[in-house]
Amino acid sequence: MEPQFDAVQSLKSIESNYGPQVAREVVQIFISDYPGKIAKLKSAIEQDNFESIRFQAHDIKSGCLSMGLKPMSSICETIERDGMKMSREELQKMADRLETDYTEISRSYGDYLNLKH
Amino acid sequence: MMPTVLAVDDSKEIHPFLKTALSQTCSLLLAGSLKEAEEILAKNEVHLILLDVSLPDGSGFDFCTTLQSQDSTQKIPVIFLTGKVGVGDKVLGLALGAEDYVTKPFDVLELRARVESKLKKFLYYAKEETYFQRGSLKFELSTYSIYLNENNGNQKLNMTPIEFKLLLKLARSPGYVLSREQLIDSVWGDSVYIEDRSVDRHISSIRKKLGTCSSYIRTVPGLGYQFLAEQQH
Repeated sequence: MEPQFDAVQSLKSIESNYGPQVAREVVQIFISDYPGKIAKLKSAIEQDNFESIRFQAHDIKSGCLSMGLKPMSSICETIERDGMKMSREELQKMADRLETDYTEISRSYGDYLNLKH
Repeated sequence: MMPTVLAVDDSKEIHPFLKTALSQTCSLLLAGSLKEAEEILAKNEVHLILLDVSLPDGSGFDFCTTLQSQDSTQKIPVIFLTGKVGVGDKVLGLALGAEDYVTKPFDVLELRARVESKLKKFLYYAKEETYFQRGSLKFELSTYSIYLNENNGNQKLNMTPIEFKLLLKLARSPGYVLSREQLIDSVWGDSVYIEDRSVDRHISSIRKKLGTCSSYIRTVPGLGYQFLAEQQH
């Protein structure tokens, strides 16, 4: 069984490589911008707009990769690569999963930053 | 003075990483779209571009091609910085003339080292090339001046900026036949309509000004013009 993803660990890694200020800045962008990005992806899925689906998935993947958020980046990678072959329902499930991951990660980030600072 | 690097990436979350990675290496300008990048390039002297591939208003690959085709930007080294990790994408990026291709997530030290290495090379050549010599002609690049070296003396030729660019374009590719269309794209850009005859008129004027070196430019009927290499004289 795959070990559970530890969002706080990825944040600590950013802190150690770039410093606490950058980690805080990145978390703020993640919390404020990602609901909009996921909403855009969901809207593109609703409209079967594959060009936009691919673009939005790539955009989220790219940011998540930089933040070390592997579960979210791999969902987006699958959508970006195989989205054309997937049904709308399958894509919607993946976008829902992305949203759940976002909620969990942002909660972990918030808890960690509140506890620490 | 620190060199200037332009990073074109619409993901705001990347920006803090880039600022930290490069703050001691360069002055960093950030653009979230190709339009913003164009505006920054028009107003600033940029020494290196970090370019994402997927941008909201177009492809970084296409933008790289545009940069390569314009005199003002063709020498600026481009490093792709992207989440596109496929070998095909990497090969395409490098084939388009990029100096390097870095995938996300990037390591801060590695990115810094790659940027520093390319900047060092670029700044070295930029410093080196303040003038360009071909045969008896010396092109002074910073002042758009051309000197004819004859009888141990330099005579300044009274060329217009367009004539300077045309002659420089030809002289940079000695022996190669350049079509009128290639010359127009290079000198005026491909968004301006210029008649072929206009090129001919400028070439005729350049030849007159070149005097004894007028034979440096050869007309190749049906094809275009050729600059004859110095050893042929």
